[in-house]
Amino acid sequence: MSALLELVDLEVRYGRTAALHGVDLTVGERELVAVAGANGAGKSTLVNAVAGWSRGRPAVSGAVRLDGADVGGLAAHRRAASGIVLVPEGKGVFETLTVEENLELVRPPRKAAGKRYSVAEVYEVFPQLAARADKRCSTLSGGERQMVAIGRALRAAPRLLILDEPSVGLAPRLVLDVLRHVRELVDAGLSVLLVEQNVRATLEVADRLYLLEQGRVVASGPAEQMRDDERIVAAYLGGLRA
Amino acid sequence: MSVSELQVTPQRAPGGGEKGGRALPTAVRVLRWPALIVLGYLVPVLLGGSDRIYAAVVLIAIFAIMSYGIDVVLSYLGEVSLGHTLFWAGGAYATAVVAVKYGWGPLTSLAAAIGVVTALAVVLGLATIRTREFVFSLVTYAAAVIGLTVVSNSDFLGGTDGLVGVPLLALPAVGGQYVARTNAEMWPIAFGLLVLVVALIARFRRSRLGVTALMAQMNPQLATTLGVDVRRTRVLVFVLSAPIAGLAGWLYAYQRSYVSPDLLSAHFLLFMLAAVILPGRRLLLGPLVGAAILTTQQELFSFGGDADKIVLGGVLAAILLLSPNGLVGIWHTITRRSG
Amino acid sequence: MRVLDQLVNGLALGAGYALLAVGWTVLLGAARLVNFAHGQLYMLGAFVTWWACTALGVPYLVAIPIALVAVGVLGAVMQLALTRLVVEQNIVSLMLVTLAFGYLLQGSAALVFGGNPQQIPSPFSSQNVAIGSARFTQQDVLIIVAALALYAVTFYVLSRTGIGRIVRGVAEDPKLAQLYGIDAARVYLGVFVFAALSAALAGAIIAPRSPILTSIGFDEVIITFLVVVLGGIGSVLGNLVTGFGLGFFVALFGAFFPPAYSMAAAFAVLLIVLVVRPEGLRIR
Repeated sequence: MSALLELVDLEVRYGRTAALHGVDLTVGERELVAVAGANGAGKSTLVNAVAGWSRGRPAVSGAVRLDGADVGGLAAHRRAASGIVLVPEGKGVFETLTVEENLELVRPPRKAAGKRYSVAEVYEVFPQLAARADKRCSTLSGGERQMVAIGRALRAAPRLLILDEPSVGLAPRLVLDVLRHVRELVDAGLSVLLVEQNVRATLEVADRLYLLEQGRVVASGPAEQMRDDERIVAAYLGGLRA
Repeated sequence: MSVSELQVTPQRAPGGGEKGGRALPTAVRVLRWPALIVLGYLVPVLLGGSDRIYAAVVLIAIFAIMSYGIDVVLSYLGEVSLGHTLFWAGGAYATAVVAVKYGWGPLTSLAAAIGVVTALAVVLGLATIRTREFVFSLVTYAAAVIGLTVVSNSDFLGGTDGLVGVPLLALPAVGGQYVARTNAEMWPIAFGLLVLVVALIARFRRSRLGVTALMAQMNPQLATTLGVDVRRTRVLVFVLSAPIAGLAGWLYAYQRSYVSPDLLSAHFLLFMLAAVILPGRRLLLGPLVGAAILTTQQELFSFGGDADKIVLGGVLAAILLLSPNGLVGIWHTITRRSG
Repeated sequence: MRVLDQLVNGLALGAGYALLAVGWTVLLGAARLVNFAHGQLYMLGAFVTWWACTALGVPYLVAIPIALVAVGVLGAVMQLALTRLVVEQNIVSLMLVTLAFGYLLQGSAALVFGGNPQQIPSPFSSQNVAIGSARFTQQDVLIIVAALALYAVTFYVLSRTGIGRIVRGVAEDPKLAQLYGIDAARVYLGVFVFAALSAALAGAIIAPRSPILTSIGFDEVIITFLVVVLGGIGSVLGNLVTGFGLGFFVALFGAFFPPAYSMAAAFAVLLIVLVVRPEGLRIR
């Protein structure tokens, strides 16, 4: 499996503080790769470095490669056009617009990088949304809003979907529901980089997992293996086996 | 947030004196202000002492005081009051009504001026206490425009012609009265009031209310968690700023000897905004410098009424678009380039 | 039937007020831009129409598009100068710059068009339409038709078209709009030009009712802002209803009190409303 996304020795500094040190990470075709870490571990920085949206002016060294080509110099909207599509943390949809309007609003790039999802195809992935197509997103539940956000991202023809903490504000039962939909998308051909605090749910759907602590990758490996890693068990799974 | 972070703000506020925080020698520090005051008082003499010069400096003093009124709200509270012409004109009209229609003296007219503008400010301030900031700007703007219509149509206030015949300013003094018959004789009063207002502003910048206002502007959430009633601060500062403009209006009524609806026109609004914004942010002497520059252009280098509008509007727009930190900002850019 | 007369009169007045407000409220809702030059754009719409009729000699209905083009271009230029501030959402500076622009435009118009009152020669202003004993001209009918048409178009575009979706998205969250691939700066330009065009249209159509001076425009801004704040910012229907409501109020007020104070009275009502409901009366 060739790597779709490669981060090679990525370092991101804000002033004198390094938010990420020497991070090596890959996401292959049809892979769901998760990045877990506590608050402040550097997850947002990682997301921003890959998607190209940065808060402030960080100094970035190391490489971000898509299909082997360096995309570090590309601005965010150019990266989106080449297939790196972000589903941001928190508010990812227009709440005063309906589900249908949100999905119609996206302008798919002229040269589709990944599969071009039509609005109808998004409804096939998320049938719950079809029933609520003309409802304002402000009336939707958190889980449904997250689905609209992902649906919106699919409309942008992604090759690599970055999900930034999709579980925030969601009831635990819904989190798994959303992540299972994401797994289906991966099985259908998409690559996903999932950045998440809720490690338990993540381990259910991910192929591989990286553990980020204070800006460094301290552990990585296949999901089944990571499930038994003591650090993960102790920190996230409450010391008990899932 | 620790208290030491709070104390950063008042240290930055008195910008007119310290250069880079380095302490000046004590002699300079103590003598600085008295020297400036004496020098300032002698400016018209040094420039020749003609009536034209005296008229110009008196106007500069009056317009500077007028501008300090809006400066308090704009620079420290961070709100755009577009209705301070109401206080400026309100002070002038109250003075004219009291002096012309009732024949009372300047101290009574001053009391009336301050009373009227304070009442107006309380009404406007309380009405907008819970609205968003730009609604506050719109309401104050509307108040001034509507004030213009009301004043132009009111027979009691002289209609479009206004009220003429404001008597000479005669203040009680040692040995009888001090009557300001000429601009030269008005100068000591105007200058004295200017010094008073600047001292007031300097005191305000260091006062608890001043610091609170700045805090409320910069970080309203933080201010609220520290127990500051942001809304009350807004109203308080707004109400306190009104008499300053009203005072300028009081003096102007005596200087010009008549009041008319033009006091409520956009000209004075643009003038006071430009006077505050042109020099730079939150400078103690900023409005004075701004008023001096603009008055000089108006009186000595005028291009005609309509063209002057283009100049005033153009200057304000240019500063806001190109150098929001005003002339000081331009200076810093130049020195940084060569340094 | 004095009241009926005044109601009919109020209809024309209200249509004019609503027409004035629509562009301004869309701009404010979409870009959070308070355009204080609105009154001068209205004035210029009126004066370019007058100039086209008298200096170029074209018919009134041809002069109107000329005025729209002129003011539309001016609006585009203004917005381009303001782009950085709009993207930064520097609301205070935006207010002050548009205020300064307005003053600049006033001075320029006085230099170009002179200081004398002028009358736009519209063929509709003298044709009377009789409804009871109310005085009503074809110009008034034109104002009502134009107002209703513009509101219908604006409402339709905003709620049912792709462009309207884009504008509403940018109005809600310009940063999120970026993620959707929308260039917010271009949207702001379009909305500003729309606002300028509608102000110019209002000037071309309403101004023939009375002589115009280059110093007009300030009352129009107050009216606009009364309608918008009371009707709800960005609420197209709310502005329509409030525009007509204000028109009726002014007409009825003018029947019993000196008309010069009708705006002052309306303003007083606004102050009372703001104390009770600081967000204005939102009509959904």
